[in-house]
Amino acid sequence: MKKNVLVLMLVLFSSVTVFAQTTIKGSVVDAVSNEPIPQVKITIEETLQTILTDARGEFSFTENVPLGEQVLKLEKNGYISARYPIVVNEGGTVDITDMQMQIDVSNTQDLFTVTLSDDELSDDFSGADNVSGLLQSSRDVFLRTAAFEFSQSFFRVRGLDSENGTLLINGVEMNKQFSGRPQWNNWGGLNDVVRNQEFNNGISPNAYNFGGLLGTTNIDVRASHYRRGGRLTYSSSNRSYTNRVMGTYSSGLTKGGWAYTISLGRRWGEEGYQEGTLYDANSAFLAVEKQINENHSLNFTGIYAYNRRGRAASHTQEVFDLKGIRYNEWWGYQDGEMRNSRIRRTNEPIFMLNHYWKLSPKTTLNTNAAYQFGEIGNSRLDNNGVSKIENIDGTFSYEGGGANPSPVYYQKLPSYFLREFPEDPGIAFGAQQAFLNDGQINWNSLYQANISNAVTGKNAIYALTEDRNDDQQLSFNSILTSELSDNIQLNASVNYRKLKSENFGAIVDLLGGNGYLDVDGFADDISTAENDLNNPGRIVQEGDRFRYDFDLNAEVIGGFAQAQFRYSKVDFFLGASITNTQYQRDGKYRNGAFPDNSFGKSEKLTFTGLGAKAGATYKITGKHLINVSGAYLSKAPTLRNTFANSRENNNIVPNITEEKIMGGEASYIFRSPIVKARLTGHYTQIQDANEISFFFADGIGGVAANPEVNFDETSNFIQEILQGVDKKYFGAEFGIEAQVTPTLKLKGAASIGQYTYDNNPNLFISGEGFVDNNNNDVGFIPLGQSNLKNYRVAAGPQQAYSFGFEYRDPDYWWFSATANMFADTYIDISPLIRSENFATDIDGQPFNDYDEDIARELLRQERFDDYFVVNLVGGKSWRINDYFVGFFASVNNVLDEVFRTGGFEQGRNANYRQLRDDRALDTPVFGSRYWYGRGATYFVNVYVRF
Amino acid sequence: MNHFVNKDIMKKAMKYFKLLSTVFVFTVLASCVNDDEFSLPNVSIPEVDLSELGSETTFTALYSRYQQALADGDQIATFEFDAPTYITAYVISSDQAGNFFEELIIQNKVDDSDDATDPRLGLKVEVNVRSLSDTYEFGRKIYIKLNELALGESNGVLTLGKPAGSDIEQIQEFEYLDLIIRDPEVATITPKVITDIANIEEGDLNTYLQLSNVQMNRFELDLTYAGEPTDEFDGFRTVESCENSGTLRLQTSTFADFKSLPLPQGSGTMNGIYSRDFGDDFDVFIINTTADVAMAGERCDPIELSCGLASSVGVNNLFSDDFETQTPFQPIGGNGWTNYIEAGTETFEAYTSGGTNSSQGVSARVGSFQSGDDSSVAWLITPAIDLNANNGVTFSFESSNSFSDGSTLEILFSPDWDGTEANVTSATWGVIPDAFVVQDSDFFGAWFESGDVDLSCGTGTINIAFKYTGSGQSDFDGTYELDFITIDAQ
Repeated sequence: MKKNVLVLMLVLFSSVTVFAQTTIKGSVVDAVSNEPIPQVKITIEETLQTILTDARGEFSFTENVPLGEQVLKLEKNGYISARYPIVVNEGGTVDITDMQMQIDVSNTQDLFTVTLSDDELSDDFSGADNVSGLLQSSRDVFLRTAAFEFSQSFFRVRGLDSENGTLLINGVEMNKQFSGRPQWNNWGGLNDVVRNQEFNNGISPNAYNFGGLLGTTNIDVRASHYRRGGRLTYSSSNRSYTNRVMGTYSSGLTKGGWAYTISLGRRWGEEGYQEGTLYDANSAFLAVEKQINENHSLNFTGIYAYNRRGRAASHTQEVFDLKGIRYNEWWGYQDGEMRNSRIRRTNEPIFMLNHYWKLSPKTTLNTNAAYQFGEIGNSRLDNNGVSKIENIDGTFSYEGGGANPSPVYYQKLPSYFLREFPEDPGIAFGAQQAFLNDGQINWNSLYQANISNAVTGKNAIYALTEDRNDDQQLSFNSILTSELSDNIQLNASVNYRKLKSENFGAIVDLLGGNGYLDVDGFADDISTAENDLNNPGRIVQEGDRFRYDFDLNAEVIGGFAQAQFRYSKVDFFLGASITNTQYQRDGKYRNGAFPDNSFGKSEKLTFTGLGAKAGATYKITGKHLINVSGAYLSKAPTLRNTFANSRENNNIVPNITEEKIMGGEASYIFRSPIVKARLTGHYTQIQDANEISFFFADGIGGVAANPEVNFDETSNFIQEILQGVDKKYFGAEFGIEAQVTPTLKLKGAASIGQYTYDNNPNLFISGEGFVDNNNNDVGFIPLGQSNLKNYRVAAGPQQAYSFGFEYRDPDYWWFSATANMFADTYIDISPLIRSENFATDIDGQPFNDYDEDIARELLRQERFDDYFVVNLVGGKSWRINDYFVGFFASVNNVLDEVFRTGGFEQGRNANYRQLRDDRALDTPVFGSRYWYGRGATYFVNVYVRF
Repeated sequence: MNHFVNKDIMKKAMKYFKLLSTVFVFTVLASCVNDDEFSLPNVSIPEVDLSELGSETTFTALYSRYQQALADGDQIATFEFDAPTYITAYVISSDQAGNFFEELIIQNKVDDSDDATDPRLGLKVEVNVRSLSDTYEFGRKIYIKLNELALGESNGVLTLGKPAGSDIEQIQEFEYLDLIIRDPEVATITPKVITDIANIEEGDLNTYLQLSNVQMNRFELDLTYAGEPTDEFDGFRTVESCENSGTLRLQTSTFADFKSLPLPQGSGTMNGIYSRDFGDDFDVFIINTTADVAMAGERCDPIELSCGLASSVGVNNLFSDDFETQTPFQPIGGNGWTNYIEAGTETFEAYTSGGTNSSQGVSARVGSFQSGDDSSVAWLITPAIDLNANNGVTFSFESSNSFSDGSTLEILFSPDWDGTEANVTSATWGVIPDAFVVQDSDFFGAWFESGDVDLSCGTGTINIAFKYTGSGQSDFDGTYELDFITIDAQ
C-alpha cells in the first residue's frame, strides 16, 4: 500500500508538460503483473466525463478538461476501484502513466453468479424471474446490494422484471423475442470471460441502443479487451451444482495485433439444495481479434454453453409441512439413481463477428453480425398414451391413458382423503404415511405398465416428453459513436434481427413402450383427437416430434439515435428510437380441434414501437448532484403474449396492440471522500400488456352459461389470456456506503415500493371444445373484466432493507456480513377467480348463496411473512511468485430462516362455491402453491491466477 | 515486429492451453453426471411365496361366508379374526379404456370350467386407484389377502373392500399393493360362451362371458355406445339374441374412450362382464374394449313387409277402431283385439284427456312410467287380415307420445300366429317399416299420421300388432298413444 502511494506521488509531480491544449492522459496497469489493463473506466469526478482505456491500457481526455485539483476515478470489474488526485493547469498536459489497480480478491462477482444464473427459479417456467444479472457490474451500492444480497429473494429493482432490462453481448441484443428476457444459461459457466460488463442504470444514456427502464448491460467479449493471463478456478457449493471447474487464458494484445481468449468450464452435481436437481453443464468460449491497423479491428467470438438441470417444483403448504422445503416431487429412483422427470436443457451457441472502425479520431463505427442457434428442451412425463383399437366392422377408437404419476397429485394427498372421507381419518393417515415414506415418482411402475401393454401389441401409456424450442436467430447491427463537438456526443445504431423458432413436442423416452400414438387422449371424439389431421394416427418413436409443431417467425428492424451534452454544471441527453416488429405463426400440424386455423401461416402481425427519453444531471458541486430523467416507449408484445393458443392454432390475442411503458426518476447523489449515497424516487406505468397462462380449471360456469357458446363440460384445460393489463410502479430506493476507516466500510440499502395493477383488464379463455351453436370453434371466450385494480403485482418483496459491513485487512484477507430484511411479498393472484365467472352459476345467474363479505375474504391477496436473512462472505489471497492464489467462502442465510419467495393461487377453484368450500377445509385441496428460499447454503471457491 | 517476443508468447500460451485442456478433459471424464441414459429397469415380477399369505380359500366359501353374515343380521362379512387367508384370482376387467373405474373384476377360473367344490364365480374389488390395469392387467393372476378386507354387496354384486361400519369402502392407494399381490402369470382368459341370454345364471355375475350370435337392437343402430345427450354416467343399449327373444342391456360409461363410437351394426359375438347396473335394477353386460366386440356378421332382424305408401285408399273397410266405444281407463278389448301382456303389468288402455296433451275423444295408450316393472312388454293385435282375398290393402293409424324416452312402439305383423295369447311370443313376427310412428323428439301434444301404409305386396293372412317395450327403467319410460286405426281394401 505504501509503495503505491509513493508511486502515485512520483507520477503526480512528474506530469507537467506544456501544450496548447489542456490534456489528461495516462495508462493503467495491474499492480502485480504490470500488465496493461484495458477497458478501465476513467472518470473525472467533477465533470463526470468518462473514457475507457484501450488495449494498451491507455487513455486521454482532451475536451473540456476541468482545471485545478481534480480526482480521477478508476473502475473495472474484478479490480478494486482507485482514485488518483491530480492537478490540471490551463494549457498543460497531465501525463499519469502506470496508475496501478489491485485485483479485487473478494471477487463478489463469482458469488453473485452462482446465486443468479445458476438459480433454479430464474427459468421462465416457474414464473419467477431474476433481474440481478443485469446489475452485477454496477458500482452503485444499492444496485450491488440488490444483485448480491437481495437476489435470493427474487427482489426486483423497481418491481420490474428482466424484460425491462436489455442485455447485450458486444452490442448485440440477447433478450429473447419469445419472453423478452435474457437467457442467462447461454453463457453460464464462463464467468471469467463475461466479466467485462458495462451497465447503465435506469433511464440513462448508453452508447448501444435505447434500452429498457431497468437500463442496459453490455458484456464485452472482445479478445483484445482481456488482460493477459490465465486463471483456474474450482468451486464447490450445495446451492445448485456441487462442483465447478473453470479455466481461462487470454493472450492480451500481441505485437502482431492478435489477441485471443479461451475459456472452458464445467459444472456438475447430482443434487442441489432441492432434492433431485441434477446439474450438468459444459461451456466453452473462444474469442480472437485481429487489429488490422490503427483504424480497423476484427473480432470473432464463439460461445458454447450446454446446460442440463433437474428442476424443482412449487408445492402447496400441505406438502411443505409434510416433506420440508427441500422436497421435490419430480424425481424418483431408477436403478438406484435419482431420476428427475423435469429436465431443462439449453444449448444455444452464439457466434459473432465484430468490426471496429475508427472513422476519425472522434468517430467510431462498430458493426456486428451474430448467429445463434440451438435448442431448449423442458421435459415432463406424459400419462395419456393411447392405442388405436380397430374393430372388426372397420370403426376404431383410441383407448388408453394412465394415472397421473405425480406423487403430489391432489387425489393422493391427505387433504383429499380428509375431504372425501371425513368420518374415517385413518384413510388420510394412511395416505400421509405413504407420502412421507415415499412421495416420489415410481419409474418402475411406469415401465411395467408400458412393457405389459407392449406385450399385447399396444403403445406406450407413459412417456417422457419434451417441449422444445429450437431457435435460429440472425442479428445484425451497426453502432456509431461520434464526438460532434467538445460538448456533444452522438450515438446512433441500426438493428436487424430475424428469428425462426421451431416449437414442438418431442418424445425423449418411451419408458419401455413400443411407440406413442400421436393423438390427444383427452379428446371426446376421434376427429378432434388428432394432433395432426394431415398424418392421422401416427405412431412416434423416441426423438420424433409429436403433439404440436409450429414455427414462430419474427423480424425486427430498429433504429436509435441519441445526443449527450456535457457542460460544466449540467449534463443532459435526448434519445429516440423506432422499431418495426413482425410476427407470424406457421403451423406444421393440422390440429383436429382446429382444422381450419392450425395448419399453415397465420395472419402477419406488425407492431411499431417508438421510444423517447431525456434526462439531465445538475452538478450543484462535485459533492452534490441531482439527476432527473424520463422515458416513454411503446413496443411489440413478446411472442409468448401474442398468440393465444399457439400450440393448437393461429389465433391471436384479441385487441392486440403495442405495450406502452412510461417512466420517470429523480435522484439526489452525495459523494464525499468517505460517504457515497444515492436517493432515487421512481415511477413507472405499463399499459396494454398481455399475460397468457395455461392450466386446468374446475368450475368455469361462466363459460357454460355463455349463450353464444356451446360447452357443457364444467372443467377443462384452458389458456387464460389477460389482455390490456395496466400496472403502476412507484417507490424510492436508497443506498449509502461509508468508508469509516481505511479497512472498514459500512453499507446500507433500502427499497420501498408499491407495485400494483392499475386497471381491470379483459379476460379471455381459450381451449378445445369452445364451439358456437353452429359447431364452429370460437377460439376464445370473453369472460369480461378481471377485477385486478389495486391488487399487488407479484414482483418479489416490495420492501427490502440491507445493512452490513466489509472489513478488508491489509494482509489480503477480508470479511463481509449483511443483514437483510424483506417485507410486502405478495402472492400471484388468479385473474380467473376475479372475473365475473367467480359469482356465476352454471345457468348464468349469480350463485344464490353468494355472500359478499365471504367473497371479499376469499379474494384477499395473500401477503407472505416478512423475513430476515444474514449472509456472510470472506476470503484470503496469497501471492506466490507470479501466481495469485485466492480463496473465499460464503454462507447465505446463516440463520437458516425459512421463507417464501413466491407463489401463486391455483385457478382450479374458479368460482365462489368451490373456493369457499375448499378454503373451509382444514387443509385446502387446491391451496396456493409456493416457492421457498433456500436455507443455509455455502459456496467455496479457490483459484489460481497467472 | 519482434518475432522472438511473439513466439515466446505463443509458446507460453500453448503451454497454458495444453494445461487447461488437460485439466478440462480430465474433469469432464471424471465428473459424469449419470442420469442421461437409463436402461430398462428390471420389471419382472417375482414369484410369490404363498406360505407367507396364509391359507387359501375359495370364492364359493366367500359367497357362503357372506350368506352366513346376512343370516347373522350383518350386512358385511369380515375376516379380521380369521387366520391369514387369501384367494387366488384372475383379473377379467380393464380400466384402460375407461369403461371400468376404480374397481377390479376377478374370477376364479381362466375359462368356463366348473366343478362342484369350487364352482366358477366372480367378485368385484373396489380400489380407489385409477389405471389399475397398469398393475393388474387383463388375465393377471393375483392373490388377495382377506384379513383386512370385508365382503358386502355393492351395486347388486358381491364386492371385496375395506370394512367401514356396516358398509364396505374402497381399498386405498396407500395399501392396495400390499393387499392385492401379483403373480408373474398373465393367463389367457377364455370366456364362457352364452348361446342363450335367458340361460345366464346368477353365478355368472362378475365373470367373463361371450354372448354368441347377438346383435344390437335395430332401433339403436344410429346410436353411439354412450355418447348421446341423454346418457348420464352410463349409456344403456340393448343386445338381442339372434336365437330367441333374449335381450341384455349393454352398459357403457360416459367416461369410456369408445363412448362416441357407433354401435356395431352386424351380428356376432361380444365378450364382457355380466353384472348389475349401478342401482341394482337390472342385469347388464360391460365390455373392456371394443376389441372384444366381433359383430360384423349379417343381421338377424325380423322379416319385413314393406310396400311403401299407397297413393289411394280403398273404400272397403276391413277393420277399424277409433276407440270411442272403449271404456276410458280400462284395457282395450272387444272388436277383435288381442290385448296381451308379455312382461310386466302395463297394457294398452282406453283414456281421455284434455289440455295440451289431449286425446282425440277416446284414444288408446300404453306406458310403463312409474309401473315399477323391471320389464314391460305389451301387445295390441288386430284380427287376421287376408291379403290374398283382398286387393290393395292399406293400413293407417295416428300416434302420439308423452316423453317416450327409452321405450319403443313397434308395428309388427305375423304370418303364422294362431290367434292365442299363449303363442304370441312363439309366432313369427316381422316389421312394417313404412308406418310412421311418433318419435321421441316430436312434440308430445301432437298426433302424427302413420301414412297410408301399402300392404298389397304381402301374401297370406296376417295379424298386425302394436308392440310396446319399456326400457326397464320405469322411472324414465314414457307413454305412447294410438287412435284412428283403420285397415281398408279396394
